Amino acid sequence: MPLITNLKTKRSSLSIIAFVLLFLSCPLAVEGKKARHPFDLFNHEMHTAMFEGVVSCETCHADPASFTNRDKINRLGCHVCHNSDNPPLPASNDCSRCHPDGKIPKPEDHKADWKAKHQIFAKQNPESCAQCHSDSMFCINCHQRRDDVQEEMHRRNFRYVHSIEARANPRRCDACHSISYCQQCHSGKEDL
Amino acid sequence: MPRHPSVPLASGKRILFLFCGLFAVIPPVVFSPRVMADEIHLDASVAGQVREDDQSQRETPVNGYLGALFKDTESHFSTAADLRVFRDFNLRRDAFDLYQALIRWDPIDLLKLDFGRQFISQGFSTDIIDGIKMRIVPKGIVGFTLYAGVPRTVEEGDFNRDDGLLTGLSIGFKDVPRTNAQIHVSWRKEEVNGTGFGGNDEILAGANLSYQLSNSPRTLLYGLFEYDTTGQVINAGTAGVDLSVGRLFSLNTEFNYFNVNRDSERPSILEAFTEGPILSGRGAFTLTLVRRTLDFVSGYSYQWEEITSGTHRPGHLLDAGFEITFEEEGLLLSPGYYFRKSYGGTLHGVRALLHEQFTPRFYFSVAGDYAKYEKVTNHNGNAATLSLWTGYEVIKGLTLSAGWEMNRNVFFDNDVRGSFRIDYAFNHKFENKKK
Repeated sequence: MPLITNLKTKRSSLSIIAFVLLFLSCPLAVEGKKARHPFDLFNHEMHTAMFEGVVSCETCHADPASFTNRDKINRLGCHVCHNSDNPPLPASNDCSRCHPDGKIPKPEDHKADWKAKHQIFAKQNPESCAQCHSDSMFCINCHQRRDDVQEEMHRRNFRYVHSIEARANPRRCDACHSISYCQQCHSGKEDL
Repeated sequence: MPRHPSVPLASGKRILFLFCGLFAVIPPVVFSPRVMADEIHLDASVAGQVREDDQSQRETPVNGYLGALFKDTESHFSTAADLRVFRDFNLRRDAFDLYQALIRWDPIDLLKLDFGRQFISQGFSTDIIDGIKMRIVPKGIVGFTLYAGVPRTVEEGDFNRDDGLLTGLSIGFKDVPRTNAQIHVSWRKEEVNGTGFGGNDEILAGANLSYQLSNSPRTLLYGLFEYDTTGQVINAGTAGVDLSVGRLFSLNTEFNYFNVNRDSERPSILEAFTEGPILSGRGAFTLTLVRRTLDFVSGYSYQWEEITSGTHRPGHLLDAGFEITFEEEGLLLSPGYYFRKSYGGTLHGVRALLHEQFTPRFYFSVAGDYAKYEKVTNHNGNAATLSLWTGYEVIKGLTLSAGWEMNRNVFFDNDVRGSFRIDYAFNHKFENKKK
């Protein structure tokens, strides 16, 4: 490979290599089988035969409309027996056993800016979060994990605009960063 | 513009030795007939990038992440470890982070013990500590959590220096319909042997409550109160309402009060930017326009900050966008707009994400962001970024990904980066474990 000395050529070469890798990664075969809904795996007859009188119907059918519309079934009803704090019949740690292809539906309260409000509920009842997020690394990935290769928590542009956002709400920064983090770049400056 | 420095903690040879050691030890332990675990989960990820800094110096940062979980149901033991190894091969910089190394033991249903380095989200803390956490869940409606250890912060540079001491207790309801409530108390010493109770020690007391008022519409009231007894300051007060109408509309509103003890020997970023409390109001909603296909999401928060004694300034944060999902086709589109305004300046930005899961094994993702800003220092400008990623699961658990990124900003006319990522996940449950 010839020695590349020109800066522009160097950058162009990097781009070309990246594009070639992108095209080489295209698959030839298509796998199209769609994921099944977790309820498709549920054997209602077995459950009612074994647990009638032990587990009430309301565990899953809190909403009467759910008897004819499975979208209204209490999705956490399964977790009562299989994935709670002390489940009588614990499920595997492999969530894909019931949630094929890893498509786990979000609870209703995970809408309306869940990222901003989740700290109250996470500190209140961390065991509830652990039903789906059983690995503590899930929390560490946002709060503590260092990564300057991939854009995880902040956009790549954040470095150039963070002074505006930090002044808009400095308490948000405290969730993950200590003052020494700022001082590593703004060193020797009392005023940030 | 300075690149954020990595913290050199170990030589390259030591890092290499550690990695080789882990991969030499783990397979024999895992596959030994004497192994205790009946569930094994391994996650390994290596991500690297080639780029140049604003001094035209080439950087080749590589992050390696390794996570392992071993679980033995019969003995009620499980262990977990998560670490990161970093090396920039051009700049010859290394770093090592150990995020978790813990042993979990559940000897009886009523007792759960965690020993070692662990992440705790309890009371007032979201910290990594080297210590112990004990959860006691007697029959009844009350549970207890105690924890104690040395807090560790990856940004502090050296995991092994004296980081003080943190202990805490949480008492809360459990299995009470529609209600979650906890009271917390914690004691943090900045220096273990330090005196000077006011600055070196931080004793916090607080309460956290939520109550679901009704099922339809689902209405949740929640509140939080945190008080610093050593500084005699209310750290946080929150009152909020969470409302869901069917699956079509979700609304959240919240009011907050934030302050901090300014005599503490553990300064915070809030303290650096303010000399008084912050009053804040926040509202957000998600509106489902087409079920399972089109959501409109928006959130706005307003802050009234005392930046110097007697001087207040507002802060605005706004995000709005669409989330478009075509589940059958594996397509996710997420265009949006964001706005920030503070005494530091004004920012307008647009972002977009497209993620296509062509097959369960093959994905493609493109993300873009453009921001236009005006700062009070008259450093005005715009910044744009575009990134592409594509990956394929070549064998079960092993995914290879390649990425390309281009950035334009005040420092770079054309910052082009090439990236790669290798992800491996191994999960196994032994059905008939031999003793």
